[in-house]
Amino acid sequence: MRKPRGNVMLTALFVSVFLFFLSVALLYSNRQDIALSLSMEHQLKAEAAARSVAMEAFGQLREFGEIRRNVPTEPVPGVTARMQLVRTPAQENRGELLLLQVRATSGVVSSYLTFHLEESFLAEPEGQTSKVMLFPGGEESGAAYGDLVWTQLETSLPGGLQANGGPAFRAETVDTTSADQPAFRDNIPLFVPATGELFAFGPALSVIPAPTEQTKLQWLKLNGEQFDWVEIPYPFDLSGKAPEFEPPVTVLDWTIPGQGWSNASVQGVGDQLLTHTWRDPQPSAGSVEEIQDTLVTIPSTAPGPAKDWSGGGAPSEWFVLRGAVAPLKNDLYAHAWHYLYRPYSGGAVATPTALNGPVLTRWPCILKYTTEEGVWEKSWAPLDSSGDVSTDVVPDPGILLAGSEGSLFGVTVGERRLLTMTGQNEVDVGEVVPNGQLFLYRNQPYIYDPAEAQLGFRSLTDGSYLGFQTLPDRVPGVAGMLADFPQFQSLGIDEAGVLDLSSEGAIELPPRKRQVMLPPYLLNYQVADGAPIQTEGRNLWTLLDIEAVGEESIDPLWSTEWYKANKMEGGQAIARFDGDRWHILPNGLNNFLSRNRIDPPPEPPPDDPPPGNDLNLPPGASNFVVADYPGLPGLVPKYTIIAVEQDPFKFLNE
Amino acid sequence: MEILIAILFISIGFFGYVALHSRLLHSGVRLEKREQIRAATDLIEAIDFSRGLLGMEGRVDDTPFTVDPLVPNLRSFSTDPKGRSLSWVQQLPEEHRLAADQALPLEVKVYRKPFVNRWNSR
Repeated sequence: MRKPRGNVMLTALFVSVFLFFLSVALLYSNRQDIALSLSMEHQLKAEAAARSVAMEAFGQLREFGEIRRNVPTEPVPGVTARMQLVRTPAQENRGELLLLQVRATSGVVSSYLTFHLEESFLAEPEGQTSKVMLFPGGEESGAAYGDLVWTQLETSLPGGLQANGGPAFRAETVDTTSADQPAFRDNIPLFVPATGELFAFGPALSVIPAPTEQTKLQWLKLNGEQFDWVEIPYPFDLSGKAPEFEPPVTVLDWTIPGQGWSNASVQGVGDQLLTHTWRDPQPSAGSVEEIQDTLVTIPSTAPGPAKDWSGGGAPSEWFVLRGAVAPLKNDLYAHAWHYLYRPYSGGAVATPTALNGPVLTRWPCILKYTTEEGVWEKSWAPLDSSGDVSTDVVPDPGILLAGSEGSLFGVTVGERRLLTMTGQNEVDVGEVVPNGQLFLYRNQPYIYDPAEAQLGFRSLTDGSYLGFQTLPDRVPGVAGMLADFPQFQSLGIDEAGVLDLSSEGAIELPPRKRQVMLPPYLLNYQVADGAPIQTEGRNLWTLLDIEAVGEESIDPLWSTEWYKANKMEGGQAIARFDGDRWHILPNGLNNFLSRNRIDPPPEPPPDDPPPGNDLNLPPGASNFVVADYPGLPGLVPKYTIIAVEQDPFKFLNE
Repeated sequence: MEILIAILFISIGFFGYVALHSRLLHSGVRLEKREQIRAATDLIEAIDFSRGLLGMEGRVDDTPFTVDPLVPNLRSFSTDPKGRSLSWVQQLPEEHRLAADQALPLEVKVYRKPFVNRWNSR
């Protein structure tokens, strides 16, 4: 009879123990539910705090290029946040990035948010930093200062500007045929062939032909906040005193056969006037017979529109600007003709010849104008005051480059050999320069041939190309930029991820991957047709054509229709090479391509700025020039979000 | 006697189990309500955050964002529903209308148009 009772007790105990463990299990699961609910609430708060702190830090970086105000450490009550900025070195086709990392912790939940920021500078931030990028566009001219923001200028900027670490200059060829002719009162020698004697008659007025054209120069001066054009005077003020002769006077008009002569002389032979020209430093003709065909009759007329520059019998020199100019900081170098008039000294000569007489010599030279002092000076001039020429090398007036170390570069006429001009009259003749645009980068000569636009710029020193290898050759198929933040049109409510107990005891939420999948595209870069090429220090600015190439997707996942439907249009972008990598201005390649890839909101917000602000390229971008003016705001980087991620990270000092 | 003791054990255990279960059911209901509050908070934050991202000056209930004095494009708002009109909630699907008036107060900051970059703006 006792055994059944024992069974009842045992059953009762078993049921009680079972209910106990069942209760414990329920309690445990309830605690898990509560923990999950609490962690989701912590997650909500932590994510909101992380976003707020990241947005505040990014806002300051974007507005000022730096963090000016500490971000809050407790943006939401009960939530602590911490932020760090980390630079990641460049890797292959990806340049250096700035990571803005925020970790917000609420309870046991930490939320991580990282903005991958691309940093864009107008120029390299080292050294001189008061840069401005000028966009000549007539009445629509604009400028982008160190903060890389385009603003319209009140000053009209014509094309053809040049600058190199200093103010902008402008060169323009003007017609000067109506200008006053230089004239010199002189006693012209009279050679008597029969006796071999030499006499002089006069005074006569030697009139030199005025140059048919000159280079008119201006520089852009910064007055306060306004740019003004300042005229650069001609090398020497040629408005000498007016002729002082009592008419009638014998006027001897010199002739210049074309542009090729370098020396000319005039003298009388009997009742005729003799003129002769030659290129050699010394006369080649020694008798009247040799130059008989150049004899002309002496005219006798009233003086024309001439200015008397007679220097009291001393040689006179003057300069006429021509051809190309080359700026270097505040100075401007310019090709010029160097004229030297040596009057007839008179008196007896040991062996009179038909070529004794006043001599006019014209030889190429390079002048330098200093804007700070407003004066011209000779920079490279082979012709000296005695009429001797130290070299017969004649530079092509269409090319002039100024190196930062004081050397001037050009090419010879015809064969295009590279010239390196140093000192007052030294010149080194180098190799033949191939066809194309010659320019200097870091004091090394480079050539740009439009036929090699896809290859980039060729170094004349070692033949290597400064190409576009450091730019990405393709657009990746995954782009997660916009999808990480919900758009109003596609609003979604976040859902918690799976909980995970980390080794540190804190619950960390796995990142939610929401990315836009698009077909990958191969990219092609080339120098834009007629693009400006400007260099200064490590900077090289130019205009690139960027486009996606190919008609079918390289990834078989995507059909041709998808590929074409999402293909970006490409276009032109201003690019800067920093000595190592290319940068697409003003917001990087990712932003440039996104412009085509991701559709804007269908309706512009009501507070959107007025039309005209959606600038792919500012007006006048095809003629931009980067100048430097002390006093302008310094360089401020632009920061562009190129990716957002929520992966956990470590702080550098943890 | 032993049967009575057994019944007593079972009764106590069963009573405890039922009491615990009813408490858990109550807790579940409260958790579900908390979930609704959390979802409403998330909803309000997401909507106004998105409006800030798009550069809109006003929130979904037409009240303006608070403009940061140092960074004008930095806007802030609170998800606290107190003192705000919630009539806009009626335009949402029914499952999103719950507990909007009980949303948690979160202070949120958003930068205006962070992904829009132009030549003539920072």
